[in-house]
Amino acid sequence: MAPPPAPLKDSVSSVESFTKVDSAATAVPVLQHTALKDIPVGVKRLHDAFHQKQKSHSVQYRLNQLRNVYFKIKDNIDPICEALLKDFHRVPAETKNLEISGGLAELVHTMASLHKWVKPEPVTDLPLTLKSQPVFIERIPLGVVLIISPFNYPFFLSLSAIIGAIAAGNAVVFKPSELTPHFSQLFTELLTEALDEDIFFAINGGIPETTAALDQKYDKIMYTGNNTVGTIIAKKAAETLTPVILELGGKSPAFILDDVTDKDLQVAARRIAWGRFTNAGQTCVAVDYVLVPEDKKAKFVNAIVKVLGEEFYPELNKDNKDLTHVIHDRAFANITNIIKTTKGKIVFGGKSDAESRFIEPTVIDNVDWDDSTMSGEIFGPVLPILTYTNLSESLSKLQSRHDTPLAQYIFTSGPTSRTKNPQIDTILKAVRSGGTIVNDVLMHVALVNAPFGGIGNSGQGAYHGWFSFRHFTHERTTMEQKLWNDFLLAPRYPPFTAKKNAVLDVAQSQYNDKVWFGRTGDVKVSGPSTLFSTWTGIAGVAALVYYFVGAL
Amino acid sequence: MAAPNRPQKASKGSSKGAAKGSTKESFVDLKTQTQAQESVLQYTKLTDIPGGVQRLHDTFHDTQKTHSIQYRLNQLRNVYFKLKDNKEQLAEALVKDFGRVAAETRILELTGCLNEITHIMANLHKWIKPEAVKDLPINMITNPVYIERIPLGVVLVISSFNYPLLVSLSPIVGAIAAGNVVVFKPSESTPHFSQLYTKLLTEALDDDIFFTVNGAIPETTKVLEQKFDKIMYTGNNIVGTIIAKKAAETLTPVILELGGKSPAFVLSDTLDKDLKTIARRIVWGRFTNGGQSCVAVDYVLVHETRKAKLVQEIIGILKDEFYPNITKDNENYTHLIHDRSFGNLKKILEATSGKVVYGGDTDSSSRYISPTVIDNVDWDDSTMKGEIFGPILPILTYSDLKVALKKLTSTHDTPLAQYIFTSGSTSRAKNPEIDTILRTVRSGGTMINDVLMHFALRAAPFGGIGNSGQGAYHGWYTFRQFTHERTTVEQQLWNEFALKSRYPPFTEAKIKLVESSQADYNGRVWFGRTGNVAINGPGALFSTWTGIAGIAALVYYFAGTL
Repeated sequence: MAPPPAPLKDSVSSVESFTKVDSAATAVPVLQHTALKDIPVGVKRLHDAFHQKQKSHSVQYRLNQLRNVYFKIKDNIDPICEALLKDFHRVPAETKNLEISGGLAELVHTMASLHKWVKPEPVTDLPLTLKSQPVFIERIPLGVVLIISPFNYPFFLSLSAIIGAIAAGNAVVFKPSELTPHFSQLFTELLTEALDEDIFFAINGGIPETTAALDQKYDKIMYTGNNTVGTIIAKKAAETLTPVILELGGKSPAFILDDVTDKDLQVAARRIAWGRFTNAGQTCVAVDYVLVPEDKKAKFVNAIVKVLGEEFYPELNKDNKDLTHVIHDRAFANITNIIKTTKGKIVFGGKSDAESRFIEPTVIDNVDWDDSTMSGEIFGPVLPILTYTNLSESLSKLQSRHDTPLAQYIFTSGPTSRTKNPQIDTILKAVRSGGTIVNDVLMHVALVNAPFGGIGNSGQGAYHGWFSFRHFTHERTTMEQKLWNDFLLAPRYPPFTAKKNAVLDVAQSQYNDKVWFGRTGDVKVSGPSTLFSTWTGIAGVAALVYYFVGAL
Repeated sequence: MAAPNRPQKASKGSSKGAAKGSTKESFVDLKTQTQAQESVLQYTKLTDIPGGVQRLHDTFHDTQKTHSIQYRLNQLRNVYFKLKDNKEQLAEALVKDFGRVAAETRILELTGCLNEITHIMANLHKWIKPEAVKDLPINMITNPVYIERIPLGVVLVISSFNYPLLVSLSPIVGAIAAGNVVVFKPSESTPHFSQLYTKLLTEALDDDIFFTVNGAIPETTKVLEQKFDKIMYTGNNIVGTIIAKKAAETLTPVILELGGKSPAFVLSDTLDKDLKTIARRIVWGRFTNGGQSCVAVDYVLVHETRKAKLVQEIIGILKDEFYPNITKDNENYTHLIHDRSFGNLKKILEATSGKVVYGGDTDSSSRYISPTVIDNVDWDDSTMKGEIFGPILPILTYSDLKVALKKLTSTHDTPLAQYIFTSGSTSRAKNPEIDTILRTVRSGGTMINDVLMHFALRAAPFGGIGNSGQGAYHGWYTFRQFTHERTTVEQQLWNEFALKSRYPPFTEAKIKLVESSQADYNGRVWFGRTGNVAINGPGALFSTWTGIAGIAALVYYFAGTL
């Protein structure tokens, strides 16, 4: 998602020092780092409490904990927005719209739904012999989980994971980003006040603290960030067979199809501009580049320049309250370097201010696949525009360079369904993406109950709502058997005979060993008919009785 | 699951005798095992491995065949008939490989596998349907929002020797049902079986979607150097860790099916009349497949008051019912897979401080260890160091369940299975001792009053937790593991007026509108700042009323931004 974290000194800033990076070194540290020696102790405290006190098995306890978090956040919305404004000039409206509203909505959704999620789920399609047994899936807590979150949506990306883990009955060790010192200090204080210290431990700091945190054993690790650190974490976790959820990034494309009408092009441009420049482009699902048909390009560029210059940012300067800045000097240097070295044509923006790490929303036309803007995820306010004449060719280019993006966005004036729009189907077949939106951007991340996560290079494991709960529990198959029925189970025991084997065959097979498909020709897609299932089911019971009697 | 597979160094030596059962000439002397392995099983050339994997990547991306459900079903059908037509041969191959009782192959593997294929084929049309996302925010209620389950790409399946069919077929057919292409590496410890099985699968499946790698460590190493979209490994923790680390380098997700020391608890409430049945089930759970089951009963924890009677019943079952007058030639009893495993188990037997109350006989030439029961075992015994994975059953007693559980979680936590025997209620809601155990011991699966059977369920997740693995499979769960859940939103272009509040420049009215469009219950909650939160969530009245108020607020704020 983000480039690897920069050394900590870049990021320790305070209110006064925001605009003067140079003074950061002399400022009083805003973020209190956790003492390294306290880290093993804190993690062990949670392990011990999880095993000995077993508090988190109670659904009532979990709900009460979540409630405490709800009110703590609700009462501190403005201070949270202020902290992020200090940290990277994050526009408070963005914090509210994209983080806090969604985070609270998910918290409330989780609390409202938890009683349903914790119910054991009956296993269906049981073999004949087990039909009368209680067989179900219990979703049990994993234990102690570690959640490491990034700077770019520091509230939403961590809150969603934390509430999912707690709702699932786990204890949580939480390491927020050190790049948002005001925010991380405040947020960890709030969470520590809200949550029982038996189930929550926050670690603040940079690389040494993260390393010390990773030296401890967890039952699951969730990391949101970039591939470099993601790989380090995955390798470390593998040493102790610890499962991971990795939420990474990728270069998410926006396709404009050749059927988009002139009137719709304006709307597509507005949505793409929003998807690129929100949070100064520092969004894991941001529109990273646009792929537009050759003959629609000129109109599209005009439209997006108009949206930016006339609608979104009529005053383009570092003091514009609607523009978020870049997180640290290294990100600023990387992005300005991309702008400097592009072979494309800058048609909007392009200027920057190093002191406040402000980069104008920048649109670059005439970009090809080898351009500086196309070598990796941009993660900043720069939008390259590429053209295509043949969709399939550009798809194979995309796959060979930036496959498995976290999101892909497709704009069409035709049907939005892949079953009715062959071009959409072609794209969705070819490009494996974390999520997909037709005719819009970003919004899928905010859905409280849809899985959000990557595939391939963009990550593994998905979360939000039920899916967080599922990821932070173990699905334990449980079967209750009787002791009085051993005469029924006797055929499974040695010494084996042909008769016993026949009973077991029949007892296990679903359709009395008949099938509804032939050796050649197409297999019916819709499965066996009701008549077939019923008839073979009855015959199966009859056969079972027959063989069973024979085996006595 | 199994002990780590050591490279089978060719230890040259004479081979005579040690015959058993129906295939006397072929159940080989351990000294010729390696020779047999290499002569029976044709190892894949190392130089062919990258090309074979690349072929599948190319066809997955270029032909896109596997996106068709019809294609997937037809492929599965081919596998079904190929296995069905070769049941006897497959069972025979395993008799040759490790004296695997043919009935065990039939009832524990073949029948279950064929059933899983038909179960998947019958249900695939339902599984591939996009799943609607519920609980949408007010402003998206009219949009199609759903989860597509898309193929991952090329997956690698590495399977173990002990249930070589069951632990490989479910992943292979599940991965194909999910639209993937499969690279398959079976165990080299079952050379006859692996040779036949890979030949059958290669005949049944389109070579655009299936590639087999046969061989040992060099071949496995080579295959792991290739890039996959998911790796599923069944086996032991040592190799599991190697694979997980290798996979991590390329951010490849893994499913690991490992093992663990699965306990059987016999609670203090068990009645004399039930102990015989309990003993029979435990014996079956331990000695099936020569004890080489990942979910085998590894040890018994019996309440001290029930111990003497239980031991007596266990011996009775072994002696009178299951294996009367057992010798190495008994056709109902499976032998050990290789000489190293035999050696390890023999050492455990020699070193135990417990009392061998039954069995203890061994024959190295046929890798036979008779069903062995060891009484008076404590937690430090040789039998309690690690997973036994052989026909030895140690009996431990407890007087205080909580103390025993503490010992268990500190030495052998997160087993793949746990079995609890009670004459009381089988439900944790009604039986406090069961609840205590289930709360304390995180296990892959749980059975009350029975053993092993959950492994055979085609529609329940089977998998471990912690040291016993990650990720679960079978039926729908295999399909789920081998697809990516892709959230898809379809939006309209004409409704920009309804979305405009999210764009800069921001105003207070716009922010209010965005907030109320996302908030359930119009930003109200049904719980207070203190006291208990109602477990059952908001009442229907609350939901309805705040829902109406929410729409009203949305309209109000929306009008304000116009």
